[in-house]
Amino acid sequence: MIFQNSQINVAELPSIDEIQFQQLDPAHVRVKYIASTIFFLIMLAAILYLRTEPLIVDHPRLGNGLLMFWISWLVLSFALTKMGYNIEGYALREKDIVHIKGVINRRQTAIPFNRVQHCEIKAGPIQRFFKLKTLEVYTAGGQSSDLSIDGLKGDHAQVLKDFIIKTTGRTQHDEEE
Amino acid sequence: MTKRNDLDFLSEPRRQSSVAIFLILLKSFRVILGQAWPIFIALIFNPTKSKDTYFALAIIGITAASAIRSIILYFKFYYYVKDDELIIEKGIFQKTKLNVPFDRIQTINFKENILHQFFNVVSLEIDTAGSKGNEFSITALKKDKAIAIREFLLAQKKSSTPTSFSEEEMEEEIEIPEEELLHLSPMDLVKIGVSQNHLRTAAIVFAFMFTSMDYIETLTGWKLENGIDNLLGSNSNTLLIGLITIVPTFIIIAFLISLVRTVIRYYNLRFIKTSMGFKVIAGLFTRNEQSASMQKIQLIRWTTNPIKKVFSLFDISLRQAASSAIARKQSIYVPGCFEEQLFAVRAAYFPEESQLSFEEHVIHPLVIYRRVLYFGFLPAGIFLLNRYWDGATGDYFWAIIWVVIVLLFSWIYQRNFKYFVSDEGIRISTSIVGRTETLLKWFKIQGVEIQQGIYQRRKNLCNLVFHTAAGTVKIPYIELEKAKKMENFVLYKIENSEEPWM
Repeated sequence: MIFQNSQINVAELPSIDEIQFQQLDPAHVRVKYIASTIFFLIMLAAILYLRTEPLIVDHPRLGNGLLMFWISWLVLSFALTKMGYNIEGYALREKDIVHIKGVINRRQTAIPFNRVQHCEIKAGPIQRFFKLKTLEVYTAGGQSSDLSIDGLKGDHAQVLKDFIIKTTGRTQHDEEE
Repeated sequence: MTKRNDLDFLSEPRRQSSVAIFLILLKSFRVILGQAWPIFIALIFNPTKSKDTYFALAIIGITAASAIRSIILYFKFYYYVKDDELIIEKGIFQKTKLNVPFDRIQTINFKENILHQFFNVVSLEIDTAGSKGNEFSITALKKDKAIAIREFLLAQKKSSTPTSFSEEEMEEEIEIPEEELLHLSPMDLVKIGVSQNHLRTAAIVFAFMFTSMDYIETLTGWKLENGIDNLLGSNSNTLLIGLITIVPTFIIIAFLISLVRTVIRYYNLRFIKTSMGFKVIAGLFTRNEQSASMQKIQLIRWTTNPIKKVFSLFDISLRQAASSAIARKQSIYVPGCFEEQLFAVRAAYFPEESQLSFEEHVIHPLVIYRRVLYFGFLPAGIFLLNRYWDGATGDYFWAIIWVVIVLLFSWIYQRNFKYFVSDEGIRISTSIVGRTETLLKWFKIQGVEIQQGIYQRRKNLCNLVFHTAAGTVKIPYIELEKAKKMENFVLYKIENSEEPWM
């Protein structure tokens, strides 16, 4: 093997700063709202049932506390969903995919295509109703670096997947030569 | 290819060695015992003997069922080779068929405990990487057969993965003799045993006693807690004396446990450099053999602690690509070696390391405040609040001591956290009491992440996380600008690397 060590001008490297992130489909927020609504309704039912328990009937403040907790969690969750939508985005570059998300803790993850093991398209029941898909990008080893992009338009997810698979395929082909 | 004819047996479905029945049975007993040991303890010590016959019947029933299950499992287990895949069929009610393509095989390990040795069989374990965490094992195979299978699989694997080597070069490579880097003497073992982390073992022993105490109490009707209370007294003065006597007792117990454990696990340890990578063989009762090819090793990490330093010992782990569930098994671990072996490993993983220039960096001091806030003030505040509700006051002393200790450790942590960046890789050194160093080559990375909390966003700081197939490496509280520059560079290095990274 020939040891190559040409000098690299670090300033000229493609920078992640210049990325324009693509927003998710607007219907994604609705999917999230519906999922949260179902979750919070179930929780409300549980709380209302708990309020008939003698322990909580005897301590009305405890019951009210539970309700307050429910309301504040609900408001927070919906607000975070909305804010999260404005922040979350992905960008497809020539050789990698970059994903950014998180309102409180923000994470920006970049995965080079030549490290991708395989891709999957998934869709939950609510997502299917809005014709949305989730793209999962898997790398080797544990789940720590696996990427999952929610709320993609169905055909868009397919295009992304095909692009990634084509690119990983090409690099593998290059290695064989 | 003289082996070819001997390996014809692989083309048709085969059962494992009949010793497997016995081994499966023993394994299920061990599982049952592991799950239900408190019940057995209760059985032995239970003062009320009325239910004895039922329990005896239950035990006989369980034994018979396990025996029948082992026999059926044995007869329902087949392995064979078909179209470049190793296939395993097994299962009684839920039938499973596992296909392992040859080129997916990461490592093939033999495992033999005393029983295996007695019957001259080995258990064959095959690992494939990938998120789904697949692991295949054949409980018992005659040793010569197992060796033949391993050679066959490795040969198939080599021919199915494209390499730039020509045929002659490959053969030449195989002929490189194995070189023994290290053979631990009993004296070395004692040193390693002495230098284990006894505080951690003590904590585990303590936690185990604490959780099982409740269990034993309810089952036997003993009053262990009362006994301890009597022993210590409720007076806080005797409590202190109790603590002074109990803590060293735990540490001595832990010391003995880790000594014995070290000897059993690492007896006669041999650390060998093979033509492909490294191999470790060790064990008193169970001889474990772990091997890794250099290509599969993602990162190496070595640590030392004050006691180890006295003996100039390090422990090294060579982390291989594996799903997290089996990651521990997949990293080659040498509990004690000297600088010479460490350098051999570093040179094998990162040959350019000694020639490259490394730039030293430190993490931002603000990490101290955050750590003190999260690990110091937060727990201290909760503690004080809790005491306040209990109506006790005057515990400020302990809370302050705690915060001061955390401050001290955080300060040491920040001062000693250093990372050294070069064109081809990074070395990270952290140390509070001991020192841990990690060596990672850029092209082994498969994902780069920048994490920012609210506070970090305000201060233009972030955590930089490198994901590899063998776990993550994190640099906390690094300047955002620096992190982005590194990310750009690392992505460039990965995307331009054509070397197979695993």
